Amino acid sequence: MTFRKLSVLAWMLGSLALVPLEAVRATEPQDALLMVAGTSFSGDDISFASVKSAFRGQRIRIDGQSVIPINHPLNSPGRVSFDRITLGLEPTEVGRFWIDMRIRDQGRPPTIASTPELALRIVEALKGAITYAVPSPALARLRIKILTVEGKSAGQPGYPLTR
Amino acid sequence: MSARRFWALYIAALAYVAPLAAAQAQSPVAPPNAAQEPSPIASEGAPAQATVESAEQQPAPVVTPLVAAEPLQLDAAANPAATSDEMVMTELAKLGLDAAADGGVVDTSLKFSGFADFALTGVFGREGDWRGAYERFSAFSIGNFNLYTDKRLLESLRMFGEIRFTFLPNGTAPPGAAPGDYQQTGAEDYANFKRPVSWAGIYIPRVYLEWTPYRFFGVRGGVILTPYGIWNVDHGSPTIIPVQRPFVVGQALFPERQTGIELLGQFDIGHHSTIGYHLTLTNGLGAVNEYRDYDDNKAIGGRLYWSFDGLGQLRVGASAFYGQDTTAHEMASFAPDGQHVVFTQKIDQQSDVLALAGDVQWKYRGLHLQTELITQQRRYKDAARPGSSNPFFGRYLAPSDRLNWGIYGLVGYRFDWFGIMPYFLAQFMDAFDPAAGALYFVNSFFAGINIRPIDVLVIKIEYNQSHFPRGFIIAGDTQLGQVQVAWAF
Repeated sequence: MTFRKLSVLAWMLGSLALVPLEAVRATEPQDALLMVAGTSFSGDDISFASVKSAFRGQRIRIDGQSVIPINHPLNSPGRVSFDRITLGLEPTEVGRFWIDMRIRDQGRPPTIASTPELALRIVEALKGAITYAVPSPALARLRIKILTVEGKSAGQPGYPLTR
Repeated sequence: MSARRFWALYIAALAYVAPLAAAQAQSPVAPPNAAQEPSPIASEGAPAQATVESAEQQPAPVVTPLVAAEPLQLDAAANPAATSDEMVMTELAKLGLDAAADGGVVDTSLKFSGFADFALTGVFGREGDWRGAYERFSAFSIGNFNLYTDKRLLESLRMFGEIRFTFLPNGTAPPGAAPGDYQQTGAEDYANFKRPVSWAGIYIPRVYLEWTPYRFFGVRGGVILTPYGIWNVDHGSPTIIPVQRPFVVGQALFPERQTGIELLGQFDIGHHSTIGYHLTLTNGLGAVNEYRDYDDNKAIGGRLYWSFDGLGQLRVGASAFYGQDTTAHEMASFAPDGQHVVFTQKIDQQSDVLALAGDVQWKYRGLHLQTELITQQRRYKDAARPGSSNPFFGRYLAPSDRLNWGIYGLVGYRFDWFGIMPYFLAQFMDAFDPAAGALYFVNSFFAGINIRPIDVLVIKIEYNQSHFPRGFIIAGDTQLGQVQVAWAF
């Protein structure tokens, strides 16, 4: 086999190898968070602006019902992603952000549950409460509803709670 | 194998493998609600929005759990306690929430917080110039000790107050007095064998009642910080990047605070854009504007801003204020009947003030850019133009109608390492200070490091230098070195 044939063969095998590589790239996860509310929550959809406002300490009402945001503990994985998406903050910036907000009197941080699991339990029990969650089959065991955000479900193009 | 057949086989192989890989890539994961057991969400008739659309309907990117390594511990077998209602009730109680109340409970507890700062300031330069006018020797000081009180009265009604405890007026000259004419506040302390003690004062930057029925509409009544620019409301020393605010903010071309009513709100115009507004109706300016209006012309003001968080945090704002600045006193005299006393207002000074400002702030990752342009036009009433005999020039001087203005720009970058932010601020101001009787035509820069090792603590080390191109009553540039530790509590 000449060097030329060897080169062609290597090129072809290499290009075939790229196919699974492309497939792997296509399957790279796009992190998505679900917005979760209790079954008594009014409506099935929430605007991204409302999510951001509620978790920035502003008072939000939906259909006359006050929205009570329940946050996850600092540095929990869901919280880190959520802060990045909604506040544009890295974990090192979150504390500074809320200290500065308090000094300006522009809002106080939402209530923080002890664990992400308890955040879901609170949402289950407390009318008007919302939180977020990573997709998990365990969610199906709770009496909660998963809200669309801006009319989109997790996984749809343009779903806002995606990084 | 001929070359043609070889290429045909190769292309066929590609055509066979690629769609398989792509299809596998686009096949959805099992949605959380589509667990093997029937979903209670679906059974209650609520739409199962969490499900990912089928590949045919929605050839979308795959959604995968963020934390595969830390799955939710909701399984009773895995975590029996998690299923306990008692545990949830305990958590609710700990957080001050009550599931029995419709939508939770209102947290009516009285909250205290605030900030304080401690500094060492020294003036560089020759003896007798700026050292004498400002501080002859470097000195330690507590600059701010501000206490916030915050209490929610109803769900949409709250009060907020800020009190600054200060050592003033001890050791300061009254506004307008010659430098060095210090007053003392010594008194005998009856609780300590009448030993001398220096009493101090308090300053109330703001105290108001706030009603916020909606995000797009709220009302405040009381003493408010004038909503303009960036660093008037954002005035706490832990949040201010330099040791002190730029000259043009400190010069109060807009009043720093006002007494009256403020309407405020914000609304969204997209995923990442928000419009906010403030409107004020107040007593305006004046020596005692906290509780007295020397004229019947209420001041009006407003601020409009646009914030965009699609690429970092961008905020662009414009502010305006129009009011009358009056200082007057009442003169008592007998009425013509000789039996009653009547009062006549004697106006000491009066001017119309129009202030306009614009500001831009952009924070992207560690980068912080900020600028404010602030202007003030002041036109005196001819019969009420203030003037005084200047002790240095020995003649009567009165301010002219003029445009006061200033601008500053700041750039800084916050590193993750120890929260260190080197910063540089350049500024210019052309303004007449009626209290000091001085014209400030000054350009200046601040260069320093702002270190925030923990969220509640800031250490600032700064050098600043100011130059007066048209000269000043005190010769030379000012050179100041400052170290400040500020903290929030």
